[in-house]
Amino acid sequence: MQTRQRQGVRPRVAGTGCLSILLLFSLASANERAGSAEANPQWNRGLKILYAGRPGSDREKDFVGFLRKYFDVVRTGNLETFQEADTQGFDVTLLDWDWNESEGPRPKISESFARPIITLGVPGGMICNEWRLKTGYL
Amino acid sequence: MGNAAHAESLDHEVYRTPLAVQPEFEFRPTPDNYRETYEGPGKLPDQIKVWRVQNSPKGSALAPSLGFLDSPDAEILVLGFNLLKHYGDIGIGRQGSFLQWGYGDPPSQMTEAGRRLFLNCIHYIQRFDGKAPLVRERVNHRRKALSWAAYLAVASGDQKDRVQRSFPKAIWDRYQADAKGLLAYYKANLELVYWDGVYYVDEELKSLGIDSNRKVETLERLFELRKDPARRGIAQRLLERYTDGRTTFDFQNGRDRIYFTDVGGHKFKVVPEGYLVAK
Repeated sequence: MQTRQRQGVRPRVAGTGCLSILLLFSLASANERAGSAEANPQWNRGLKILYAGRPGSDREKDFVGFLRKYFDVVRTGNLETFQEADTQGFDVTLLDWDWNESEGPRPKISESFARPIITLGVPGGMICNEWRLKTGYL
Repeated sequence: MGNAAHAESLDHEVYRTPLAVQPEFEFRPTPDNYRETYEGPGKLPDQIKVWRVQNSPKGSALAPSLGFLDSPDAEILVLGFNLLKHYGDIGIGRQGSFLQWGYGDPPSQMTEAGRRLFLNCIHYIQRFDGKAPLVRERVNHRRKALSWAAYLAVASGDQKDRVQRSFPKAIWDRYQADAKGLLAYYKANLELVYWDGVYYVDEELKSLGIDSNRKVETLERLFELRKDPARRGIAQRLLERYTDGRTTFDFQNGRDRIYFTDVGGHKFKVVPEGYLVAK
């Protein structure tokens, strides 16, 4: 990932001209923009992530493609069939649906359910309402 | 909610770890809706400092700030910039092991600072595994009584019926033609408001010379008064009103774990030992 990019650039830069220097700055900047997670000792690539959204959607691809740059294990699920047990084996579960959709699925959970969950956007706010959380949509 | 966050609360660790979040600040005109509800301190400036989290100017969800912090399982991570709700309403917040990221865009449409904050939130929330929320929203915060009272001045027809349904009959009979009086009554007694189908001012508590129903001192005083034969009945009734049936509270060693929640039912509750360790 970012580490590989950095390692690959160094030998080619030595002894080359302005174009290579510009390339170096460009790649270094890209590395920085990407978050420099690899170089961060606190970064934990080993967190296992479940993204439960609308299967096959562009939005799912966007989230999952992004998350896979930073975490080794990213799996997908379907919000429509999501159950508490789906979170087993994952450190964090993301619950999502279509952008700005207030009529999306609202899975049922028990009040004792306490796995780490991130709910996203408007559909996430509606799920929080269903679960009577303070984070519900105003 | 818009596509931006306010510049407050940047000292929270989610802005620092594991990744450094470096928002690009900008100033936007202070929304008119903020001025309508802002209660100080001071006045809001004409321009307000924000940072853009994502591209889309809409499609995001705010959580209400009213009562959000009345239980120690909840915290505000980001105040959301918005053109319709209140200043202080929440763009990103956590309750127990649940974190709501109110912004609607996927990562490709987030700013770099937005993406970093999103990744940090993933790291942050995993630490709360096993921390179920301490309260569920059961009723509105007491300040809603003020909103309904203020609404009486402009309500008509069915709207007026809704206002009426928020208040006890005796209070409605007294103030239905006096919106200012109704608002003044609830403002003056805000510390004694509780919900039981309608918004009551706790005149029983007031009769005991107690000025608030949500101070730990009040709870302790009610337990003391229960030892007084002349006031045992009223003290017991008030304890039943403001607790979930719990009969003992550790005022000596566990005082800092006792809290009062409006939205959780206008009750005193106790944080389980060890619950807050991960925060």
